[in-house]
Amino acid sequence: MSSPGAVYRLFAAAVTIFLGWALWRGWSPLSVDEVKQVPKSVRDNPGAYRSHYRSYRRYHGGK
Amino acid sequence: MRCPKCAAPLQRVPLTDGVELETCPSCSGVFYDGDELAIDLAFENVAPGSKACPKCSVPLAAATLYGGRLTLERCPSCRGIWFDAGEIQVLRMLSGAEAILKRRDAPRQPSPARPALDESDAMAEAAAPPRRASDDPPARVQVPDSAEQNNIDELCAPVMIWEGREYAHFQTSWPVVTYVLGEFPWQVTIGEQGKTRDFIHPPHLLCEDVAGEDTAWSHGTYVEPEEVWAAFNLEGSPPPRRGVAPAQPNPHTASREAMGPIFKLAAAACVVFFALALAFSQRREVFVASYAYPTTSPEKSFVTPTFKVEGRTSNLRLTIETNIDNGWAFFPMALINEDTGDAIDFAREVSFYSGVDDGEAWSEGSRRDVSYIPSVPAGTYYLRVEPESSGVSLTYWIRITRDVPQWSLLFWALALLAAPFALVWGRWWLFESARWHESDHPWITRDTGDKDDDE
Repeated sequence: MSSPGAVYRLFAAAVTIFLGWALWRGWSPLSVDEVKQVPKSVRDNPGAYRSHYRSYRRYHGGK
Repeated sequence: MRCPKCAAPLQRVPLTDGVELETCPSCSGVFYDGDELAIDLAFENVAPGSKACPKCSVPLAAATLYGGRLTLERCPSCRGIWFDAGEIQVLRMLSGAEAILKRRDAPRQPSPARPALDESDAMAEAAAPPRRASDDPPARVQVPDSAEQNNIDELCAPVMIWEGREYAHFQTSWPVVTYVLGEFPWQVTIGEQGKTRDFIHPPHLLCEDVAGEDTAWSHGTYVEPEEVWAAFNLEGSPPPRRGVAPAQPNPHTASREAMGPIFKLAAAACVVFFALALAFSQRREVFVASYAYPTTSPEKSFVTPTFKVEGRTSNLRLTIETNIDNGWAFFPMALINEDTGDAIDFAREVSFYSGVDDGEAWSEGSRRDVSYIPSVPAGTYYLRVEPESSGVSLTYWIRITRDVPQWSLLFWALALLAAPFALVWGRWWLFESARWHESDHPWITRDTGDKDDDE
């Protein structure tokens, strides 16, 4: 049976390695969607592109 | 008469009610006449023993009681019974009898030089005479309040070194003997007052007992209840623990000590990684432009000029700054790679509200938003932006910076590392807090409301 120290050692190593990888690759927890093969016509007609977030519900805040 | 066990001369010890017992000053055994016992003993499996009766020299017969849990030597001639040290306590426990000795109608006065004992004290008498009448209520002794003593240890918390271990001061008290029961290797006197200082290095306990001119040091080691239960071959399981004993080992110490250096090492590695990332990151601005919200045009979306993103796959920091006031702006965006046509679709929102309520100024939100677009490979990109806003005069700036280490990643890594360690440390701390609660150095001072109770 693994001791808490051994388990934590593995956990700490995993967190440290993940941080190093995240810093190197520029990983971020930002929620994004990847879209493949956007038509080149978007440059000429930006309105033709349909963003995933166009109808996103959002908070308008204020009192 | 001589001790049947070690052949030392037996001593006659007067007890309550005029009974006299023969005790061994060497091995603390005691001989009872048959008619002196208050309980009937149901002997089982009587067999010839190896000892001789100290009274009539007849070989004692070994007989078991209570299903073999106790073996005593009994004289077949005079019916006297020999108890080795500790066997009276075992008999008391097994029989449930409070008194082992018979009362006599016409008790003799105990010798003034040798005060009365109860039967269990008789064995201790061999070494020194404890003094208490057996079935009489315990003597009333005025017990001084330790709190009223001048306890300088409470302030200076002394430390003792013994066999290379550092013992922390736990408690200093001024005990008074009010009742005597059991075996003692020293002379115990009711009313006797001393001073004890306890020092702990769990599972070790070091005690200093000062009585008059004598100072005695004793050293003990905490024994788990299961070990005690097994050692005495007791049935069932020990009762549940209550509280924390001074020298009880903290079950979380090993985990804490194992995890502490790992946490420090991993946290240091994370900081070093982040410092290296800061030192070697590009942090180069690749795009900046300002735009005005097209209030009159039905088509809000537009694309930015292309910009080059260089270097290894890394992030882009996108900063949006607005002049918004009491309103919101929403920016669905797509970062499109002109070469491959692949897009990263995301959205950001900026809102800022402020005002004065009941003479107090307030604000909510921010005019600025910072986000990180993850893992963007090198290439030529442009942004497709489709702004929405609640206001009519919105101006905003979009700034994109290549390869910027995120502080939040370091924060979350340290938080992840700290969480299990904090959990173990917290449990260790609670245990230690409970241990030291009754000491002279409590970690937490609780208001128990005693003052109100006193009133």
